[in-house]
Amino acid sequence: MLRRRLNKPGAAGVEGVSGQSVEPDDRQLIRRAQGGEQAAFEALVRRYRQPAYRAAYALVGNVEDAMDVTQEAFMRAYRALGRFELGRPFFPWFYRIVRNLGLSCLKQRGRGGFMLSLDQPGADERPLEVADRGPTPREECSQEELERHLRAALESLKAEDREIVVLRDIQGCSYKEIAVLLEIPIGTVMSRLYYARDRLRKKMAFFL
Amino acid sequence: MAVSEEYQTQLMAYLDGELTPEERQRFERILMATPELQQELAQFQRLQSIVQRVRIPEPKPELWDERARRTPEKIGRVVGWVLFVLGCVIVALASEYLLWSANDIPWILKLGLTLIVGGLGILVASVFYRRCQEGKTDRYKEIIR
Repeated sequence: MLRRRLNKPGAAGVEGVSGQSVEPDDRQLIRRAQGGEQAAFEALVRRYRQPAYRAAYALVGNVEDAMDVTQEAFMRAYRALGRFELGRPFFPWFYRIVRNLGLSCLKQRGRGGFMLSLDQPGADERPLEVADRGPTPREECSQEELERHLRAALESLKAEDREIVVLRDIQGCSYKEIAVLLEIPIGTVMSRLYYARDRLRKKMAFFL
Repeated sequence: MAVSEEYQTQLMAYLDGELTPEERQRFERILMATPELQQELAQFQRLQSIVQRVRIPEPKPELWDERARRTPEKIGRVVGWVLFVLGCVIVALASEYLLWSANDIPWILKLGLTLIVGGLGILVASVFYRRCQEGKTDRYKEIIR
């Protein structure tokens, strides 16, 4: 979802079976929302809620805060929509709002802040879980043990490190997309990824 | 085992499939000749295979709807606080004016009440000042909201 729409200023809507666009693109929706049409902004919310939530989760690390950040980000985006330049892509602009709020949330909550635990209650509030897709890299290690260590390792990473790892390995963003979102050169994306992964690798050394 | 900075970025790009076919071939030749680099790559590949299996928990759509319903309450609370503070300021200023214009109140009482109101005002102002200072030193302030 994120990848399809990131780089195009007027990112196209969902393609129908016939190959023709059946949903208005971002630019149309924003123009209509700027004109006061609430339904157009709601369509933008539906389109970007999931990638925004995932980006927020990468920073704050729990469902409640990630939802709060996402909702607040949409409210701020709505208020600032009048100043949005239509020639620019929407999501990178919106991502910066999400990112800023996510980092502020972490700052208020204290250092690190990846509040993952094994016993988070409720089906909707389940912590990060590792999908069961075949054997683990280290056969003797249980899935549960691996999950626990991975959570602890992600929790102890700096938010910026965790963010770039999640964007690449979980969200599946390309380097170009990450560069646009974080407003950094591609060379910096590569070096930041190296250091972030290197720190994670050291914390996960036992399983590698 | 330390990989030179020169190879760190190429290693990441190789791992993530971001090299062109020519760059890839060139890097594979370097890889063949550098066992340390091979070992590092193998570890990063294993790490990536673990991290890629992580799933981010998705909240149910009903939870979003519930939050959307609560939004007016949230806005209402903010508006409520703003009106409350504004009201307090108006009442404090008006009371002070009436207090000092009254002739039948002892001056010591006038002074005491003024100090209480002034003290409260300074406390509130200091909180606002601190918030403003935090805003100025926020390292993420350049991020467009």
